[in-house]
Amino acid sequence: MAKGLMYIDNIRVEYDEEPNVMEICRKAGVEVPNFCFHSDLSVYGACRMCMVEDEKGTIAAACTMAPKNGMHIRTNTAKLLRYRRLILELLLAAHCRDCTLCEKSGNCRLQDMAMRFGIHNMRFEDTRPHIPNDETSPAISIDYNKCILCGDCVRVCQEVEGIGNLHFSGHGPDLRIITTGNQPINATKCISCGQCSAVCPTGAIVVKNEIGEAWKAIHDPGKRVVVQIAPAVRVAVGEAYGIDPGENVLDKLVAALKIMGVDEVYDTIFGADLTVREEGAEFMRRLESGENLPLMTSCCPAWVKHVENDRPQFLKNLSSALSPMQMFATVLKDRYLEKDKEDGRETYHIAIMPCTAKKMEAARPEFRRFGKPNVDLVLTTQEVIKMIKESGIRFAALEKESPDLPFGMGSGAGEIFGTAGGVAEAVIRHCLPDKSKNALRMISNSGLRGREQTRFATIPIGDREVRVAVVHGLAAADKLLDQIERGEVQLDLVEVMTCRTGCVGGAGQPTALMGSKRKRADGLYELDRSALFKRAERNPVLNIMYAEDLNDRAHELLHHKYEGAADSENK
Amino acid sequence: MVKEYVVKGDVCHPGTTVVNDGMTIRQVIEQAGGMANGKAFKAVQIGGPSGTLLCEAQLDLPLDQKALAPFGMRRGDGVITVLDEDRCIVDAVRRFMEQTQTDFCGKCVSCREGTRRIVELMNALMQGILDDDGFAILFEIGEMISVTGYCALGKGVYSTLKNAYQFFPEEFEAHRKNACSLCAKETRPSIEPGHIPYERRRIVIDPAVCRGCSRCARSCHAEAISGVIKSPFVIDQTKCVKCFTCMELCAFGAIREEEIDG
Ligand code: SF4
Ligand code: SF4
Ligand code: SF4
Ligand code: SF4
Ligand code: SF4
Ligand code: SF4
Ligand code: FES
Repeated sequence: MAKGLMYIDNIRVEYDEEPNVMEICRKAGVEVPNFCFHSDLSVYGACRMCMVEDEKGTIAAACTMAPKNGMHIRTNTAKLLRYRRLILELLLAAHCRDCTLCEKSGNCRLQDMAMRFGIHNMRFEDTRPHIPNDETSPAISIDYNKCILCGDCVRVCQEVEGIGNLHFSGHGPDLRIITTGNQPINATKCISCGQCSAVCPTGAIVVKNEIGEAWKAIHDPGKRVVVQIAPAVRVAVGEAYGIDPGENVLDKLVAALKIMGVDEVYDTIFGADLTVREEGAEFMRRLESGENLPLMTSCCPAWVKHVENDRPQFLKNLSSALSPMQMFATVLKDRYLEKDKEDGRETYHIAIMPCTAKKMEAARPEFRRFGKPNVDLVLTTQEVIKMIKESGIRFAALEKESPDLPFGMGSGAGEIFGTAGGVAEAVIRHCLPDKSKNALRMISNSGLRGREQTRFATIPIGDREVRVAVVHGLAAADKLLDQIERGEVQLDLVEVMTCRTGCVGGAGQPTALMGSKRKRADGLYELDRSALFKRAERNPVLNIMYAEDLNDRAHELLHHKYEGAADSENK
Repeated sequence: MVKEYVVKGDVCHPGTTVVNDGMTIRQVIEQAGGMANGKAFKAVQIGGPSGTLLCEAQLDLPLDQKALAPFGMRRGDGVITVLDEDRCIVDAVRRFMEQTQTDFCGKCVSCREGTRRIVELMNALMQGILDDDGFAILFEIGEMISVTGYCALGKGVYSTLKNAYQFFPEEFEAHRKNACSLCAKETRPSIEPGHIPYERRRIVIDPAVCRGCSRCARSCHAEAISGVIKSPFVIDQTKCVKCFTCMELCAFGAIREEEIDG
């Protein structure tokens, strides 16, 4: 039985758990204009765009209005339209409307709203004092002058990531967003997760654009441009071209990159297989010795940064196995040393990632060899989409092309790295002696998959019951760490992903609601089901490499012990 | 119920005055010594930027929220600013509107951006350079804020402007033509608006009544209310902007307004 019944623009809707009229309008298929509403965040009610009228003529904000049985809501009365237009005009009046120069253009909720409402005439001047941009972060760019003070970034940083690095400051006409202590953002505890940019409805916080660097390398005849593509990217890139979220378009992306002039295109799942094998071995060693348990995954650089910043007591728990991106890059650069010498070209390595924090990871001093970063450039999904558009490529119509060999293949376990729970599942698959189909099914039904932000599973490995937790969103992760500290939970393996739903929901991905992020995750599980092989140890190329010399050089190439402040400060 | 008000402006004895139940505005002004310098009464503003403006016709109404609600009086504001016959009403309104820029929080778009523009437009009107469109927009914005503002502070901002225009349209018209006779001979500084006497009143939660439901804390845009579910919540007086949002929402009537002693 539904809790109640309402009418939205005469559409009859039953409602249950929807906490406000806004959600019920969505259920009725009516998207009330809004800037400050996110179903994953607390309700703020500041933009006043979502005003609706009830049967008594009372006008109120839909996002803060509690549902009542029998309500009749109108979302587009003459009055509402008049107010909404005026609010929007006022909002745009205090905004630098240089759309053609703006990173967000074409993808901007403010611009979109201005077009929907046909605001062609501006009766006011922008009289606000100019605030300088903040370009100090390796991951995001901030232009405070484009901020409409919706507070979404403040809330996501606090409520989802538990960092609380963005705040409101001042009041009245001087109200603005500042970082903690009003410092340049690289001097704060920002972990570069970029989730603030993912929720920002305007171009005020955007992913750092490094497309120029990419083109420069591609057009440099002295450079061999080698690309790796992360799993989460392939199920999201198509969204910019009308392809459903979750549909794998890796082959089209490879084709597009080749047309743009990239020399070789590989798959990050190859690196993921390396991570699984190294982390799996490390896990078994720790289980044996009982030291530094639970083992915590370290493939999310934003999470690693958070541990370094605020939870250093858990540094020893972090896996020393590199992230798939770094695994791939070190091995690639190592193998290509000879090749570079032979044909006099320098390998320039670009990683295409769903993630802004990977830009920060790539710039970390410990991930350099021979005076150069292992990953020369990280491009997010968003940036690659822009490059494809810039090239005039009709993406949806492209012929498929497979990634190159030898590093263009990997296991199904590598594919699911892109979704929360995937890393833990991949590691368990590797560690479990039982290699049957039933074992795979047992793992996937163990509780590692699902929607909860913190999930627990107990899986028998040998004569041990291994206790695993998966958590996404650092606010939730912090809670779990507290529980671990107080001894309330006993765990052996903990997977932490900073972004809700894992990397499929990364801030470098096209802007998306929770539903699309889940579809992307489903897409990755689908890829795993149809994968040639499902376990990292079955990767034939890796097996050869391990047989050659990788075993002996694993420590040198594939591991890094995070030791805290000291090792990252010396940049 | 006895209530304390602060009377300021063109009265003989500005200052705190005690208002008994049923006292009319005229009596309150008289209690403050009546009009100063032998000038005649013109208008009275009650409640600061989010309060309202009244004229001669309302002087014999009792000074309480219920009786004055139809004229835009809102609950709880305790400052009365009295204007004499030589005061320019447009200038007075302008000063009250300006006060919003220091008194209001700026959280919501309608009020933050709306009041910013109202101030600009009022300044233009003062200088006699506001065109017909601008004059219309002034009221358009005012009405919009009164409906869509997040809290009572913003919602109340239009009353002063609206009533002033309704009661003294000729002064607005004079200003549009840059021909205000009052401004021409005025030598006194602009009237100092009465605004929310932060120092004299506060919103408090009665711990004996509060059930700790957290509704107020969630409603407070100033993030002034904190507490633990099921135990009494408290209001941080340094953060509270006295908008009464929480008071109107509390299902148990645990929140009330209090005079600060002394
Ligand atoms: S933030 Fe949006 S509206 Fe503003 S300049 Fe950029 S694209 Fe245009
Ligand atoms: S990047 Fe992440 S941590 Fe940094 S300010 Fe944005 S949301 Fe907060
Ligand atoms: S920076 Fe973006 S998300 Fe943050 S308040 Fe401004 S407009 Fe909103
Ligand atoms: S969860 Fe994935 S996308 Fe998000 S910060 Fe971590 S690595 Fe990047
Ligand atoms: S919350 Fe209230 S005081 Fe603050 S800007 Fe909105 S209406 Fe004005
Ligand atoms: S405590 Fe109450 S009156 Fe004060 S700002 Fe918050 S909601 Fe408004
Ligand atoms: S979405 Fe309701 S006020 Fe912004």
